[in-house]
Amino acid sequence: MTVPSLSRGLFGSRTRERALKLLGLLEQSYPREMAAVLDEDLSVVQRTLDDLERDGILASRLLGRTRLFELNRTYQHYAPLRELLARMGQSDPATVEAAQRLRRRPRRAGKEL
Amino acid sequence: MNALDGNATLTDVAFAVCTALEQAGERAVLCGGSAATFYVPEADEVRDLDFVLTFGARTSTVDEALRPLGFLRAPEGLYRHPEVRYTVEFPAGPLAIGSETVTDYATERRGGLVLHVYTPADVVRDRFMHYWAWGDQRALCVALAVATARAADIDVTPIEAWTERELRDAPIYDRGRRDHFVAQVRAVLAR
Repeated sequence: MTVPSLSRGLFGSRTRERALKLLGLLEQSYPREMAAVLDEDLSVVQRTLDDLERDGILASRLLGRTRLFELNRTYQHYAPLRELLARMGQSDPATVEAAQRLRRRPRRAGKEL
Repeated sequence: MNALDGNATLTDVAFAVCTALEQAGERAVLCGGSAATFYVPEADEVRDLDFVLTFGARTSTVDEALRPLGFLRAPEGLYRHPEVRYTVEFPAGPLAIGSETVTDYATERRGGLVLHVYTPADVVRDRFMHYWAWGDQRALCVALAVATARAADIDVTPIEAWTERELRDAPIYDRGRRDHFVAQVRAVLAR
């Protein structure tokens, strides 16, 4: 049995770290998707993403009515952070498994599931 | 310090805010799109001024410095004025373009007011960075507009050298966009 870690980790909170690792894997996502994958409350995820954006670590843009988040490519430490998160994400089986349940590749409109 | 009114331009606000913070002992540098607008007002339509506080500052100090100007902190962290159409924000520091920290900036004076602002060359680099990272064509246009307006202040050689360092240290940006930008800047400066 795995005992959930209550450590705040490298990034100051467990949600922050999990959200960043997930974005490291997915490259782009939106709050509702991230909340579902991380099994976290939507408002907690939204607040976390807003804080990270305010700190310049994430960037967001509107796509229709959806707010897409990704690592801020103009953040001073973007390249090393991206590399670090990719490594952290790959060494976290739970996050990898959750991310793998998402379908991200294109699907033609009207095609049967 | 006089309060600002609805006729204040971006430059008026920039000088007033920077001076108020300076008097409060805080060094703030205008950056981002608002610095580009300072040099070339017609190049971009920004509604917010971004200042980076170079040595960090307590929020309460900033609140007290900006209150006499009429700027009050909104719940989302930016500062609004009841009449002025511009907002003021303080993005997290340090001042940086790409992976490099910016340590030199220009200091402009107007009467008894002072404004610390990115140099024209750093505005060009900063706007280019947004084109480089996101493919933002508008940012490229603004970079070239500033290079055109302030050609005497722009030397493409150190800018190109900086892009080479970025490509070497973080090979994640598109070399083609860099080549396109450098060619465009050279063409602008050759006019």
